[in-house]
Amino acid sequence: MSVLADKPVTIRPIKNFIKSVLLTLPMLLLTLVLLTGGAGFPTDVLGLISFAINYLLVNSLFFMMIYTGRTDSYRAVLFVFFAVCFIIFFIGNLLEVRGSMLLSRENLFKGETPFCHMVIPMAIIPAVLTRTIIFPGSLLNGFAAVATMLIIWFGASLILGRGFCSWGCFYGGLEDGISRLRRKPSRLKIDLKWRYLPFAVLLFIVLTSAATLSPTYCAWLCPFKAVTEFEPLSSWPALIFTVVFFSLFLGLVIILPFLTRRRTQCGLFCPFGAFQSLTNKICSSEVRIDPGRCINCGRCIEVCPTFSMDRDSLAKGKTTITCCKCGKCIDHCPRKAIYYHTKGTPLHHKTRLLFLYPAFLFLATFSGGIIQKAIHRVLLLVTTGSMLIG
Amino acid sequence: MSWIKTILGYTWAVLMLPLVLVTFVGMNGMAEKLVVITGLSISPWFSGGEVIETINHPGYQTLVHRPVFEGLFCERQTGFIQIRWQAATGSLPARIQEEIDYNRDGTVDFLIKFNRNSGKVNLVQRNNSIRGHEILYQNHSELAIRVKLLNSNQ
Repeated sequence: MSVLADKPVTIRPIKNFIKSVLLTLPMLLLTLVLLTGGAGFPTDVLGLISFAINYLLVNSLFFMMIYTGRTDSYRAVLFVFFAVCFIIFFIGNLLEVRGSMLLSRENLFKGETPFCHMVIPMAIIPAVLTRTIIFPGSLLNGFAAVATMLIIWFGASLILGRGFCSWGCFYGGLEDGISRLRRKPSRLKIDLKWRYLPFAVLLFIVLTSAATLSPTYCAWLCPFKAVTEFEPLSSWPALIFTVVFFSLFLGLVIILPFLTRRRTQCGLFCPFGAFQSLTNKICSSEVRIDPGRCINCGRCIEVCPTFSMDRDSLAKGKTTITCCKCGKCIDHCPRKAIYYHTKGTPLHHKTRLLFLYPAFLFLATFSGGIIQKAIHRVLLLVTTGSMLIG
Repeated sequence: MSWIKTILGYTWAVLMLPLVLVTFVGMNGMAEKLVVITGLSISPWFSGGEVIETINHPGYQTLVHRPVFEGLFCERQTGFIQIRWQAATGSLPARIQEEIDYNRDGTVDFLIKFNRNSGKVNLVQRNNSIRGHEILYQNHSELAIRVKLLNSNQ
């Protein structure tokens, strides 16, 4: 009996390791193609080092996901790193092009504002009725052109649905990181009813944007203006809006996630997240709970960062529509009763990879260019004393 | 019927991986096609609308955009016309003066004067529809102004 019991202990890790290596090989190949853009490796030394760091990081994380069977722990590393790199890259880019983070009226009216996915729900009604995009950007030229971002969003909606909030959104990574800084949440309790507030914010900004033909969320409410670009404080309205942006950023992206260990901006405020909950209907994957295995311990409800689990949803074997597919509940479930599932197929546990490959490849590719450029800037800072190129 | 749903479900899920490749490899080409097929453009409330007239002067040119009154369902009661001055090389002249007939009826609707040294605009109205002006931006080689208009069709 002891011989029989010992065998799997020595053989299983080796088999698991070999299986994980084999399953990582396609990702090694796909990320090589997508991260180089088919244009070959960077020719300068710093560029090559940045590429190598990113490539190794991405594929090591994917390997660990397969090897350990854990999703969220390794996804979060890349997701949070992406958010930090985005800020380094974006601010560096603004300093190079404009000399500051300020968005001048000249930038605005010359269409030099990078398009952000947050604008999409606000832009749809005016785009359908007037065939115009209510954003001061460029349709095809420059960084984050409108049409390019629309294509990426459409792909992301099919591939990830609401999962974009955990596998693509560079803003979400900030909160995800901050929500992990404390070991235990404070006693501050947030009523689960508040998780429907983003739908009200979505309705409000869609209607006001259609009425004013301008992206009202960007102009009035976006907390991430604090770490991207904002208008000069040359008037009282500009000052008031800047106070609003910084207050929302401090409250929803820093303080509340730190205290509650939840992604409060994503879960309680973000209208784009609410919008993605609707586009999630065309996505092939979802998170399901096996009621036969579930012991109602409530661990998933405790750890869910976006308030997407409650007793009712557990009883139904589903998450609520706000689920971002981050995989945290899956990793924490003591009975392995929660799993990624392909819609329309019988409920069983074998479709994790069908979600993991496209989701991870999307994150690796979407973040790839930005992470490489951010690492490049940091290397430049270390070697030359300035992170600006040229 | 459930086996059809199962096959469709797995097929849809399997297609997601190539879709990532298609999205990122083909995004620029697809973006261009999207713009051509849908006829999308940037809202004239930001872009100023299409340039309908270019007036050439020695050393600079004046670009007159079309009047903008677009609303969601119908035209708005108020709008604007955007005018830009661009130096061919170097700086704009110290004083600029331009007569604009924005409604194309053969008579001048307003006269606009700009003094680059003081940064001030003097707008002389010749039409009751003119409702003031706003400097969008100015630098040594470029100036953009919006003249606010009342929509005479409303």
